[in-house]
Amino acid sequence: MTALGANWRKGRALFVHAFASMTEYRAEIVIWMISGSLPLVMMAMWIGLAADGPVGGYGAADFAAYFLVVFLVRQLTVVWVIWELDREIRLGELSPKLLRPIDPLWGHVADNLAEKAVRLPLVLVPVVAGLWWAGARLPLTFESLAGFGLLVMGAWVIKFFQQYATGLLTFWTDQAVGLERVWFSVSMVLSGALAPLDLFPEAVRGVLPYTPFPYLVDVPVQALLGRLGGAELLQAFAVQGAWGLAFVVGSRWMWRHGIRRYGAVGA
Amino acid sequence: MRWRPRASLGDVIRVDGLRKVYRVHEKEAGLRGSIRAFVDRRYRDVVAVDDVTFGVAPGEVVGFLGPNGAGKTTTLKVLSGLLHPSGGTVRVAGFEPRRREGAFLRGITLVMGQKQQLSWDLAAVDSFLVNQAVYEIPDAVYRERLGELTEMLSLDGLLRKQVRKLSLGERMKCELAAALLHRPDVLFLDEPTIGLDVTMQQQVRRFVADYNARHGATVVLTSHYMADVTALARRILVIDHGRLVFDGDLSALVEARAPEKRLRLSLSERVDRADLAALGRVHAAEGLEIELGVPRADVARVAAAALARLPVVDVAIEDVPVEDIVADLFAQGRAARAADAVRAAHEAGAAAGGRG
Ligand SMILES: Nc1ncnc2c1ncn2[C@@H]1O[C@H](COP(=O)(O)OP(=O)(O)OP(=O)(O)O)[C@@H](O)[C@H]1O
Ligand SMILES: [Mg+2]
Repeated sequence: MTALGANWRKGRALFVHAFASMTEYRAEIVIWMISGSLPLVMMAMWIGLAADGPVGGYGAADFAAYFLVVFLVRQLTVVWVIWELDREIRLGELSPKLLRPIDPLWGHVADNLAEKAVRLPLVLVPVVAGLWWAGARLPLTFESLAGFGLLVMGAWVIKFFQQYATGLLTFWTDQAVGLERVWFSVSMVLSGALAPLDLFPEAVRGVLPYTPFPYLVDVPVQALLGRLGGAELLQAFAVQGAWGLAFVVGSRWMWRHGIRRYGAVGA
Repeated sequence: MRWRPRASLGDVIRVDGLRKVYRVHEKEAGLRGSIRAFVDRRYRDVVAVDDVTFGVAPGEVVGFLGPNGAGKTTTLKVLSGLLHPSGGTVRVAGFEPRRREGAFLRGITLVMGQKQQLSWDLAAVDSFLVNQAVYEIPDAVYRERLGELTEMLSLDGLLRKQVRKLSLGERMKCELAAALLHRPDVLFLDEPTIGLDVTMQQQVRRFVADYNARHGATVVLTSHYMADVTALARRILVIDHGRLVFDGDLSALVEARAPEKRLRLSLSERVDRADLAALGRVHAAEGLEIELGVPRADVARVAAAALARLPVVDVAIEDVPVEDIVADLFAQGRAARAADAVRAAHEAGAAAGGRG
């Protein structure tokens, strides 16, 4: 068995196992999905504001399209690994995973991807129906679709490894979850989940592209709406990739140092 | 007390001066305690394992005994790489466990008597298949091993049931199977029979003995059920308050700690207590059932004397139960520590008195 073949088999086994677990949680996934519907509430609000004429260039249909795609992007990049790490480290549930000759990271990745596989069909239905109902038309060129796909993956990488790194702080403190809540609030605003970043003050818009936040929501959304040119897409890939890499490297570093402090509590 | 030589070169497990200190965060109870802990965190060091040295030869089965909190589980967690030692060196099959290298992890297993690696929402086989891939076990080998484990542990009908619907004992057997699919050479078993009924305990014991015999695996096990230890391990390590207080053959422990044998007599009528005391130490005398403690060397003579002088209906000569010996060992440790504490308090008091 080649190393590549063995790794493929491991990945597949983890995914199959995670998928089987996730199908046991179908009902919960629907509830989580509904709990992520804040963008739809924002959509209703902005459509109301745009009733008497466009706001900052966005008409009612534009807001509908923007927030429906925001909803889609957020659903595709939902991450909860911090709760898993917090529990595993505090309660010693990490122990059985540490005994296996595979980094526990891969189990979490498999869980997240399997959950996406269960969630995706559930999410697409309301999004497509909503877009059709609002009369929003997406360009759906190769460029917009490919750009969107890659940017969503990049957004997932940033969110996943940012949460992974924050979760690993549990090796040092039990306040990691609190820190995550702060990050979450900031990123809700600065990622464009509550309002398109176009509508933000000029000063903020100047700084945002250097932060990871726009690449989590606004940039992928704009890509699918066909509002980004080739050069803008490339630039977005570069900055997003750099942030993704930073979080990957950071979380690996924290794992190496934190694991020494693991208490392995329990029985 | 007879000590084995320190770790020798051929040993698969070598532990030298192992020390593990936990840093625990002290918090007083109640809201005030919480608030105080928030502004001023206090830590205390708990020495769980202190300067422990031993070696285990390949294929050996070693029983780890000690009262609650002695440091047994901590030692096993260090040996399996879950905990980084605070001091000393540890080698298992030539590896430093804390590095958790793939080749090391593929050669060991740790079973603890609680919720472990099986996913509760799925059937045990679903988790087995993950292990098959993770440990890179070829299909044919996997099928053969699963067959063997199914037979040895009577797993028929359990593997396809949702794990959360299994009974404690059934789950424990599935956990054991999951932990051994990769056929490790070194087994760390932490109270593998806890909570199981007598039949299931025997089955697990027999399984461990079989596994050891078939595959020549090295086994280190802890248990509070003395039967686990006496049935499986010829050699025992006794740990108390983090320190190794005995390392040697079980029989040597019995001889060293129990120079007596028990002479059990059933009498047909009551006799004078003085007549009994003349024969040996009266351990118990309930009605007509008498238990005497007699030095090993004198057993035959005393038994003969008893038969000659007393109205004996039945006689039996037994070893002191291992439980009693070990309990005695722990009690001695406690007494010694208590004496130390009293002496220390005394000295502190004297010093304070001298100053005042
Ligand atoms: N993660 C931890 N953090 C702090 N202290 C711990 C931790 N784990 C164990 N201890 C302490 O270390 C000591 C040894 O514990 P350990 O679990 O090794 O004992 P044990 O011999 O396995 O006992 P038992 O027979 O009750 O299982 C105890 O005083 C315990 O309170
Ligand atoms: Mg224990």
